[in-house]
Amino acid sequence: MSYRRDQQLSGPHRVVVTGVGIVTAMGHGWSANADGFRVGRTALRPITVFDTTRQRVHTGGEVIMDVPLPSTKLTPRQVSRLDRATTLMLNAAAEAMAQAAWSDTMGESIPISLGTSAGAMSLGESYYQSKSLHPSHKRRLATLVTGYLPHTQAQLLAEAVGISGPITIITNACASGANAIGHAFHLIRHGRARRAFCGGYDAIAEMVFAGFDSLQALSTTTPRPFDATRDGLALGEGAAMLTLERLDDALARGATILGEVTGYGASTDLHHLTQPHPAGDAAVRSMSIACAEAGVGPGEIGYLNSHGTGTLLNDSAEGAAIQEWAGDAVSRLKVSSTKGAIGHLLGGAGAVEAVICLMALRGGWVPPNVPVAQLDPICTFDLVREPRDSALDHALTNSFGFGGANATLVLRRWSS
Amino acid sequence: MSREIIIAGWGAVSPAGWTAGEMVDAILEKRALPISEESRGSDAPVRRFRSVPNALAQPPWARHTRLRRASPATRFAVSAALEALGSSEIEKETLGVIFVTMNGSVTFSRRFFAEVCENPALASPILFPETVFNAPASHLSSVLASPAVNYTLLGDSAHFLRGLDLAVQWLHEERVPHCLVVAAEELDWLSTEALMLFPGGRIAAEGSAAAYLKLGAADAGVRLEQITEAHLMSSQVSRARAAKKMHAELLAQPDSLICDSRCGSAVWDAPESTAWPDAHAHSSAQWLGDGFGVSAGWQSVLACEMLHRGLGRSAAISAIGCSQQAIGAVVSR
Repeated sequence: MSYRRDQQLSGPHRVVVTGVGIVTAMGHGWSANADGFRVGRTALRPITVFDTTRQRVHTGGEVIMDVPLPSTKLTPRQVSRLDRATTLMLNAAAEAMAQAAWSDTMGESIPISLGTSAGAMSLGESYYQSKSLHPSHKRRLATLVTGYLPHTQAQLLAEAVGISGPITIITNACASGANAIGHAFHLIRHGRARRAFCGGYDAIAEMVFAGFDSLQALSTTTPRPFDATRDGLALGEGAAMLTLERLDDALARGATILGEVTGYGASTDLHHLTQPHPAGDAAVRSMSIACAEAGVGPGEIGYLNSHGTGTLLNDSAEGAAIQEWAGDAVSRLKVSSTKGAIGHLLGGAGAVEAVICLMALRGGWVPPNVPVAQLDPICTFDLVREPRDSALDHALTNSFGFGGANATLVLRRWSS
Repeated sequence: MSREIIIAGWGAVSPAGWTAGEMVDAILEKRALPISEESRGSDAPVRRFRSVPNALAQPPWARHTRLRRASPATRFAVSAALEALGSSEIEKETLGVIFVTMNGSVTFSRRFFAEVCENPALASPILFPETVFNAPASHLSSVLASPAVNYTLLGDSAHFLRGLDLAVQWLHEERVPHCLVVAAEELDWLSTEALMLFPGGRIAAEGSAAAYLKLGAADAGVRLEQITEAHLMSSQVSRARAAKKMHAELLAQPDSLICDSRCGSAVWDAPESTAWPDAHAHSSAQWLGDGFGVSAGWQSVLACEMLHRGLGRSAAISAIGCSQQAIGAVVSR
């Protein structure tokens, strides 16, 4: 990752996924999530991590924390201090590392690329409340402050799984997870690293929940992406982590290859801090860049996992963008949003949805959108609303965030 | 196409003023900038900090619609970015933006969460979007009218150099033909009192730093020679050990100017105090204060400006972060 003026890099290299970990409201691990998404199960439930009685909305994609943290290299003291978001991330990381079976990581600089929107926000909230109530108190506050910093969470990840390398934490709001995977993909593709550990995570936190509620962006009924009568999103929480490596390295060590990352695009929507351009022009740009890198056109994308939050403005802008980008291929394009099932995972969304695409590619199915009573006319594409088997070669996932951060990943089914 | 990376422009906002020149003058003159002292009440600690002086006149960019409600960090970022870009004719629609921060828009975040604690039903929908970490970066791209790739990176006080490293990556991959790296921080009692929880008596500061990078020849600007590996700190790797590994890798020449991260506190300065004699080092944090995520940005701007003024032929930047990493860079003229 270091740079020298006379540096010569190899590439481009093909980049494959050899390990995946996922935790969402649907459950812990690949199997629980794949089973749930395949049949279109919904996993929203009452929020219990803080008191919602003074909010308009009381449900979300809260994870049931009924699985103990797998054994890691962290000390019991470090584990005792973990916040909810970091715990979710470490659970996903442990699954990914076990699957990847990277046994020779010591001494090698392996980059870590993480996306998060709020990090350990609950620790920041505790620090503020303590300082507000007792301005002179100091006890345990340094620990809260240190734990709140996202790079501390990344350092804990590195220690937990026994790797060491430069840390990149991308916080591009709801696109962060996709950006983190895309960044890691490019590090390997262009010869700056042989492998990388990447993903995204966020936990439900009171401040963020209240923020979305203040914007009246949360659904007071149920989130229904692409329904003409939709009234907002549900917040969720979770994490997904992926091990990426060069194809030739993975083949040489006989790794199980779960899929290939083939394209990544990012762009910035200048329209407004929180509202997309109605025509979704930045989304068109990110999809076009990603597909150009992957060497595929809209007609070759078998499944598009949309950002699909369920807000009025997002879905109509993304729908317009898909129409513009797909052109004549739009009617054949299978599209769904998985946010109706688990909520919007913010900084974790892009990573989780990339993993859902890998599941769909490997399993040969498309995860259905939640039921739609009245289809939005913007859906000139094939909005998949029931479980459907379908052989897929290429999948695309969109992630769009506040600040106009747009990111798109293209993934390919692995076939030996 | 040349693969050499040029820092073609730089800018800064600091307790010394709203330009890189004012900042570098203050450091080279070893000027004692004023320290403010405030307390939230008799029960609260006395905070010591250096804030950015008020601008003498409102700059034209301050009237941009996206900046009407923007945080101080955003305004600092825009000012430094525009200074770095200067008057050069550039294709702004292809300008990549990398924003680096540690605390983000902490003032808005603290105010919004106070409202949430009071009554979430009345929390302001105007404040909340500005609390998001990438709000300053979004405003910056909007002011610059660039729809190109834009990242916000979170990291410690050395992280600006990781921002430069990412810019190098983007340029070499031809994702963008030119790139702006900007760091910004604003002061708030929440972050200043947090700094006071750690030993060393550091003085909190605010401001921004920016560097404009592109591929090309160094006839206008300085050449980026090296960025070292980011040597990670952990429970197993001390700050001193990470610094030692970085210094072993840093390609400083015997006559290189040294821009280090010492702040005047023996606790924090030890790794660099043992690495080279004081006489050869310029320590921006000693004169400006602890700029959190901006610190290594100020060091980088100092290095570029000193080379531009003909004070040396190369400069080494030694950035030992507060808790994440030790990383260095070398620039030359």
